[in-house]
Amino acid sequence: MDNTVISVDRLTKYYGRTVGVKDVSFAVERGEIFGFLGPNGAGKTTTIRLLLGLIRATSGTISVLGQPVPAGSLAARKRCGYLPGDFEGYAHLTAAEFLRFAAELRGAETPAQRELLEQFRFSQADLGRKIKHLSHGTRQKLGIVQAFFHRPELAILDEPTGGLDPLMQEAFYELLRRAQDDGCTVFFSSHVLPEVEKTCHRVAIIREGEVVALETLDALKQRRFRRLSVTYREPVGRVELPGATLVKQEGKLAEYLVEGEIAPLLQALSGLPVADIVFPEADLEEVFMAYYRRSERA
Amino acid sequence: MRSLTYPRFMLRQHVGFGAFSFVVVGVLQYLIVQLITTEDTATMVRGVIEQLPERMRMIVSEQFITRLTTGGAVAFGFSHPLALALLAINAIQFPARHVAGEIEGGTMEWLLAQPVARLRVVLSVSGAGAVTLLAIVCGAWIGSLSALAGAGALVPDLLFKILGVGFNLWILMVLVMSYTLVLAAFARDGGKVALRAAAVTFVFYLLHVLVPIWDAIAFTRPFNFFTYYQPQKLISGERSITLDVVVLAMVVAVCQLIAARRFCRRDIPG
Repeated sequence: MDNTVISVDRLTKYYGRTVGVKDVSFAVERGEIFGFLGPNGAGKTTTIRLLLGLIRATSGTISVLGQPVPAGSLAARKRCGYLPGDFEGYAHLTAAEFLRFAAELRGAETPAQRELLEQFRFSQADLGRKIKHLSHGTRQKLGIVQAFFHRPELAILDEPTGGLDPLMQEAFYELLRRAQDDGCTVFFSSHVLPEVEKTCHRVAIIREGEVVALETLDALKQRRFRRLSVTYREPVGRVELPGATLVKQEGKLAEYLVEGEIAPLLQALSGLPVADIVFPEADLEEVFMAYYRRSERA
Repeated sequence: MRSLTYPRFMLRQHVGFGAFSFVVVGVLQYLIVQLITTEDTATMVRGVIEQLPERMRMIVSEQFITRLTTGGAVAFGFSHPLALALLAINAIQFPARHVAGEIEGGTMEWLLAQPVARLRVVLSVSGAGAVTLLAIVCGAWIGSLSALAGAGALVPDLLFKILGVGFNLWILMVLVMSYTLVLAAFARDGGKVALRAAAVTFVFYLLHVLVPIWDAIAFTRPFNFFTYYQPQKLISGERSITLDVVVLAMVVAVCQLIAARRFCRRDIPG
């Protein structure tokens, strides 16, 4: 049985002369939670729309749940759940009517609906309120419920936690863990690094339409992009250290971005008038920024 | 029936204005036919028309004099600007709101991420619109027939002609809906689509009204779809419905094909 749920090969999309995405390739395995990271306008939503067959690729191939897109998109969408970015829903419907409509379109039972409504703390009043009168957060919760209520094999989520309060964000992470236990594959885009760090197995980092990194979260972190703060006893001018990039220098304080082996760095520091160093564990934010700086330099 | 979920969803949104149009068109038709069948309006109207300037008289004569009979009154009701306007608004609303409007509002993106084929969306919009328009035309039929029956003037020949006129009107309005659908399939702004479609309809209607008195625009006659809907001539037997319906149906089919092809291939949102 083919374990690849999403396969994208040299995908390119131009909007006129503007690049949407360029030469994007990746694969997502069954049961994986895959993060698609990048700032606004990097090409995350374009990639998602291409996966769903909403827009046509200029070149490249896509396969979702074994179906070529767009030719087999309809068959794939039967087994998918989708949460668009800035989910709006039909403003004139109540939340309950919208869920009923979504279920009717699928012609399916919605086995997880009640459980999800409880998990995301929907009250009867929320369900009876028109969508246009719901707060942004409650609308987003509704979007999450409709994306998962039919227990999809693949959930494609575009910035799913926007507008959720911390409690609901936790409920969302819990939902992802449970969905994964049930065999669901999750592809989600985000520019919120901590949530990716909390939930994903692998990430792709996209910048200006091009994937600049595609690795497991552990591998990314093992690259040891770390921020090093050095306080010198006296102003020392611009000090370059081996394996480190000087990010900022103000008087006695210097900040570096460190990659790779640290032995030569420590050796170099030992000959300098160092008063203090702070060298915390790498976090994804640093990794992300390092990739960005690196591709900018390139 | 899953295939009917989306058309039903649309129909529910239009039931209010559709019902209003049904009642207004039905009552208007009833009152017009009732007036002609119970009062000697012919003499009265002729007196008024004779006071008008010559050019106005040419238009009004064509519009009214031939209709001051029972059948003429029915035809007048079926081509009354208020009835045509209500039907056209309904015809324009469906594609403008459910194709371009939904693309604009973002719900089309969500809808097409569900297991819904694009062709199904186009067919649903057309189907729901056509059903609504037919229901409003039924209002006109009911108004005419009940007034005629009340006056004891309902004869089989007139009955069939009225049904034919209604069918012709329905096809005409399906055409209005179809070219709005073409505009909507290329656009992403429901308001603009509605305005453009209304402008096109109004210009064609204006040309149709002006063509009897303005020779310079006579060439537009075969290209104007209102030419293929002339209830007074259908009722008087001067014109056959077959050619009109065939021409309109062919243009409807072409518009539907263009709209479906474009919508099935376009980017959402474009």
